[in-house]
Amino acid sequence: MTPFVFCTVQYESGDWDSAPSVPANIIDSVARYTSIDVAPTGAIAPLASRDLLRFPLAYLTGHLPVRFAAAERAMLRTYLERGGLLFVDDHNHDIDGQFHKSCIAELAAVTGAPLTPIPNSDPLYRAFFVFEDGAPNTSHELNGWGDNLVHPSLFGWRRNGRLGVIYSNKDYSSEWNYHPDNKRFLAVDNTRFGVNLVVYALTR
Amino acid sequence: MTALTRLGRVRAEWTAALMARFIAWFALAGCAGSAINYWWQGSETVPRGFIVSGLLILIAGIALLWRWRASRDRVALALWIEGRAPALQYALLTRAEGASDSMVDVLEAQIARVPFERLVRPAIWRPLVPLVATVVVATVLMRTMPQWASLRRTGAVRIYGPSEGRAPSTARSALATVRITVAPPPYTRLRTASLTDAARVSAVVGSRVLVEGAAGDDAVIARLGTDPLSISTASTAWSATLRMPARPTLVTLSSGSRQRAVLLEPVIDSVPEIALRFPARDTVLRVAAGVVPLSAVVRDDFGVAAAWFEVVVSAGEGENFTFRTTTLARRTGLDMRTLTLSASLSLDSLALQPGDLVHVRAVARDGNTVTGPGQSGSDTRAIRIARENEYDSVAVDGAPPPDRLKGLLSQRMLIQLAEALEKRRRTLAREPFVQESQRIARDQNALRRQVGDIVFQRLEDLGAGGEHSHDDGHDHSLMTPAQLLAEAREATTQTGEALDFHGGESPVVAISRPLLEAYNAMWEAGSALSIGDPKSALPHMRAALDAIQRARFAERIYLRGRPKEIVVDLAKVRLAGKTDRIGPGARTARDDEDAPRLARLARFDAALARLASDRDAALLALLTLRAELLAAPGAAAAALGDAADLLRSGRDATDALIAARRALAGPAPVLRPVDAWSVHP
Repeated sequence: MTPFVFCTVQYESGDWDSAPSVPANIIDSVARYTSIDVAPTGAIAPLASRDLLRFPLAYLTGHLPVRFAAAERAMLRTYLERGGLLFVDDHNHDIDGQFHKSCIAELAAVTGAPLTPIPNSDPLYRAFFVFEDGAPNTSHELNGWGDNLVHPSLFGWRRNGRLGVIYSNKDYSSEWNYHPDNKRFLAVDNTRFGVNLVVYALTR
Repeated sequence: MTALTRLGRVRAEWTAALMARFIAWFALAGCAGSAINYWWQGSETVPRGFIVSGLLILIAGIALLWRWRASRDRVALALWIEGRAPALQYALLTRAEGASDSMVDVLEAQIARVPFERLVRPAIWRPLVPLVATVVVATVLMRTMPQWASLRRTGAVRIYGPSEGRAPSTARSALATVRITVAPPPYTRLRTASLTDAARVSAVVGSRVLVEGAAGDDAVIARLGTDPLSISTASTAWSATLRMPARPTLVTLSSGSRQRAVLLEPVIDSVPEIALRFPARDTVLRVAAGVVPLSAVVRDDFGVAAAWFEVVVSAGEGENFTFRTTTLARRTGLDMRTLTLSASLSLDSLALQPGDLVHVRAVARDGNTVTGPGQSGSDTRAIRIARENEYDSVAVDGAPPPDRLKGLLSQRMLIQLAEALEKRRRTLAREPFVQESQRIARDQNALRRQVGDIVFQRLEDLGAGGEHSHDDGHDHSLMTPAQLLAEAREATTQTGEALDFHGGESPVVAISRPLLEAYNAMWEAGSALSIGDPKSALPHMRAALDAIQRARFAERIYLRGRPKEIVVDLAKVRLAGKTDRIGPGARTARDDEDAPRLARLARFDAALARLASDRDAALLALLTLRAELLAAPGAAAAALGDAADLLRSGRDATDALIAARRALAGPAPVLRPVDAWSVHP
């Protein structure tokens, strides 16, 4: 069986590589808490490439407005139809910013439906670790960074009852963007939700 | 019984035999016609078998009528009997011709001795035997036709003829003829169209669809998908009106035992298609000056209503961006299927700074007043203004900001704690109040040291020296807090060109100044808190927070180049695994990717099997299958549509059904050739 490879999506517009340490951090957590056969490094897949179809979970982030090219839209649509899970995180940690507005519009154009809030009872929050209160808050939300708001939930789009797109404006990209060796200084590992994302993508 | 009476009975028997032969010929002609229809693959409106059957029945009827006419002549019948009963010695013929009264008794006696009825009976009925035998054989063959069909299906020869499974026509059926009138929405400027007995209707979403027919013996019941559809009934006609839905939907009509299905196939009004011609590609400019020509071609299936260029200017980097959005060359009130949009973008007017990004795209909206308007955008082109320090190489990947900056912002939390403590001053005893204040002071000092680490680590490179972090290997005893404070004050009170970042000084100083102010304010706040005076500390704490906020908005410093890729040591990590608070989710297997295709194929085969016995049900199943396939139109959906049209019009649909099945089954697997033994993979 081939190991799970964490994939970062490279898209033409925007700074897709703004959180380079997130993949290693999630890989570390997957290895730390699960027995999933995982590759030690992540991969980068252009959004318009069929290489994307090799990965069950794709991570997309950035600060700048997101405008997909036609080929990127088509491939993303194929990816979602084939059962892939796209995790999008707004690296700005703001609300109604340019990344948020443009990315939401692009995703709606691909999926054909707007994103809807993911309820706290969703299996995503119990796929591995149990998050009774839904998506965990980031330190940026708690200490008032950016918009000074705690975003209540993530947003998603479902296909046949399964989440195909998970959209976050909690800025996990900043929260998880550190060397995994520094995880030992945390009282509670803040990347545990990343494990849920991986397990959900692989088992649902 | 007289001879003439006996002769009349023979004539009646003759007539009965003729009638039987006519019926046999009729049945035989029907079998022949069906067989011709069965084997003949044609596309005539009236099947060829029906024509042949009609001709056979006509010829047989004329011939038998001619024979029956001959039997009405009593003399000719008597002569025919004399030929088959010589013992009569023409007594019957003489009697039939009207013999004289004197001879009647003699003739009657002669005739009475001969049982001519029994002698002529075989001659009367014998011609019927081969006919009946042929009809029996043909009937048996007709009953075995389905078996023939299943055998021939494997040979991919034509399978179904139009005469099979045809529902018996009802003289007064309300569904005998169904007329459909489609009126598209006004914005499409399409004409109203009418169809008769159509299996499917394609129209723009929102079109008004009128389904009507002549009134029959039974009432008409209609359903749109699973919802009932109201029917308006008049004395001579019925009708139903509906709007073309956004998804393929079946309209099912039933009247008595008759059923009819019409598939509504919506034509989706697509959003405008926009091709941005200029700028042709992303660009990095050294100087934000000049005019950039913009050009885009917009196309829409029914008409473009409005179009414009959208320009977004983003300034900043890292975590801090500001955006400005403006539009150019906005054109509204259009009604064109193709539009070329042109404009000029003056970079001077945008007041761009180094590092700014200009995102340009064209946006258009159609005139859809039913489900829209639909709006779309072109690809986005980015025009970037290079920074001065990028002139040697503008293709530099930025590394992330230092993580320590994120920890500095808990100053806000310390302020909240101090404010809360100040509110409890009157209710708390002095000793716990001071203890709590000193605890906040310790946190404040810890935060101050972190700020000092950052500030003086930077200033050290500029020769300013400073406080060192507790784990950097330096001797902290070399600098007392008083010295450190003096250094900080000195640094923060420097003014003039030496700290002017834009004047060519290193940005380190410019960025550090607000942090130094924060450091000073934290020092004062910590001192006040340590003596149990949060009220005095709060202004300094707020000043520190303001300074940190200013530091946030200052330009950040990034390490140059791509950070080193982190390779996780999986074995090491797994040895340190934790298992607390784990709730493994139930795993469910995903569907086989091929399962939907196989399921559709099975449904198609089932519909095909029902085609011979229940044509309407099979047609309904095929139309339902097409409705699902229309989500992603392809060859299978097109072939199914053709087949439905042919079946509804009573024509041969074999080719279309074969094409549909091939499309549903997918391409044949391609086997890879065996690699040569000597080739290394």
